[in-house]
Amino acid sequence: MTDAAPAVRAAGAAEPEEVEGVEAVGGLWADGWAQLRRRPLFWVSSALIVVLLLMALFPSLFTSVDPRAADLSLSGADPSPDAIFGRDLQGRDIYARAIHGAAPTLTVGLLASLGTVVVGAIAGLVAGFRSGWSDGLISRIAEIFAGLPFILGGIVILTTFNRPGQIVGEVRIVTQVVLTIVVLSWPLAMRIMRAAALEATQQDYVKAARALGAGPWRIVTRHILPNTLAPVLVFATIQFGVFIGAEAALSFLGIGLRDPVVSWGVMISEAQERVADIPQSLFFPAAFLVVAVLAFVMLGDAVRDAFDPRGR
Amino acid sequence: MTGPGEHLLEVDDLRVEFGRGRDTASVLNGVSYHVDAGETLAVLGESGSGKSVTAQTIMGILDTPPGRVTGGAVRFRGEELLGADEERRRLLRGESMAMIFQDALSALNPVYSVGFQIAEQFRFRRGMSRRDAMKRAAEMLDMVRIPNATQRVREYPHQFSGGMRQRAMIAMSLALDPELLIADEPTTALDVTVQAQIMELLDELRRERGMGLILITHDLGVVAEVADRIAVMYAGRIVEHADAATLYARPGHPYTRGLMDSVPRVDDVAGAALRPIPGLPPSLSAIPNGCPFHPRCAYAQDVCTDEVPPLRALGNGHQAACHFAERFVAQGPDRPETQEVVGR
Repeated sequence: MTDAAPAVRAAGAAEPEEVEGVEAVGGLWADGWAQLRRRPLFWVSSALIVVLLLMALFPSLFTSVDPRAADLSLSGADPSPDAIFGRDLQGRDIYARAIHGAAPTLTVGLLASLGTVVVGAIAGLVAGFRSGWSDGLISRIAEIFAGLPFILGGIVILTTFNRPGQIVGEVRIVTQVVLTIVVLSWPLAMRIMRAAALEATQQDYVKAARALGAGPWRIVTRHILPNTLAPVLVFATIQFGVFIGAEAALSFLGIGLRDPVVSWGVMISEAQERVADIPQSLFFPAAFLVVAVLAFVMLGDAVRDAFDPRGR
Repeated sequence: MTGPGEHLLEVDDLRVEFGRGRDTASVLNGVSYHVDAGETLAVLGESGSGKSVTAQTIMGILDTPPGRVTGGAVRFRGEELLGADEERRRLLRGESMAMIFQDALSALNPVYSVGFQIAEQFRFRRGMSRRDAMKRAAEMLDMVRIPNATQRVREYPHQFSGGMRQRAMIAMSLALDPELLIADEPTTALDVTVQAQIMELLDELRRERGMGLILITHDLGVVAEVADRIAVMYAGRIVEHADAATLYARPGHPYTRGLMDSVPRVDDVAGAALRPIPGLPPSLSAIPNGCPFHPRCAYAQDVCTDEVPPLRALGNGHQAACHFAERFVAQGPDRPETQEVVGR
């Protein structure tokens, strides 16, 4: 998936420089937006993400079929005008389920990426900028969490809150899965941020900013954070895909999202039992997953290029 | 504004150490100098002589740890800075004293346009709107003679050439009209022709604004034309201090002579070997007893290994820290034979 991004970017680079008239002179964000605006990669990925978001927010725009309506007499039916993606083992409409699966999947992916990056970035920024004992303390705590194996940690945390097989509400299980992922993954983001912050703190421009009377808060927000954002943004977009996969893995173990919640991860797990007989039950949710992950990776790529002027 | 007998900036017996315990390096061992408004003081010395550490201590941007001020005073307009609280010092930086760095590319933040970085000061310290601040930033770029300032104000540091970047850096430091500018090797990273332009610019700005300028360099050629006074540093001490003309005409310390001799001159015979100072500067964690320069000094006597020569007045504001300073001064700038000077 990540391989596809550079190829698309090359096409974007060939675009002729736009001659600009009088443009508002801005800081990092305004200039970044001006750059972003001219990238086809940005528009393609944004369009895909808008469609996915519509799917998640208003599934009724795409289908009026109940994703939970099962008709066992139609079990494993091939694609037909009646159900364009065919039907799964339980005879449920795969198209309707894939559409309805967008919301929980994207919610888990987005919230987990966001949570990981926010927690990890703040911890890493403090550790890298303050150094000394705060760095030591934060790094040791991060090592403890990083030492927990993901699946084992997930099993321990999730089974503590729910008995295996227990039917739980959608909001509750989504929150639990997101928190589990964040708790087990923030050290990665923290390390990336800490390394970047350590490097940026040593730069002459930080010293120069201090020499001109900038306070610590302005140094961190104006000088260190923007120079450390690129690696964390890339990490977040890649992790988005990884977290959707992690959600599927937890679902497969019966401790993550589960019936009656419909997510792509749940659908993929269910499909594994009879994949040879009913390939469409694996193929379509997997295709949705791939497109979603690709869209976010491409967006991340475009954003990184736009906000890092060294690459312009 | 400066009271009688009060200098714009006065550094008095400044002592700084790095590290702790057995690894302690004495980086500054009692540095004293002063600058008045409208005056250029050049601080000359090899790498590791403590020139930059002195500057960073004055500005209050020395990294502590590993650095540690162990003694002395820094007075700005009579106000003691080393004991002042951090907020007071922060307000002085930029407003009253500013500093420019050797490598302007790394001293400018790569993610912001040059104009934005200059404008930031007007916005945060003067409360100007973004638009007005950008306009002022363009004026600053124009003042340091960057052509097309109104367009270039929106460009990024990597789009500027080396000389232009240093000009932008100067514009940024002078935005708030500081009374003291410290230039830490401002021309070292530039080619010779650009060096001259930057020095000329700094000299002009100093004259126009009547600000004090501390010019830190290891290049005698750079300071010759612009410095009013020169302080020569070696191993964390001032070893000679004089007005520029006196220093060039009658250097009183063999180290100063060595520096002057090691610069190739136009009237040197073609193919003549350069005359470098033999040896290396001492390790700051093991500064030799006596005169710190004695292991490298061609004129060293027994007294040099035993006694630290104090910085002595030689008249006319000329000071040198050498036991035989008077004889060197009498000799003039040409290379004396050992016997002639110290008379074995």
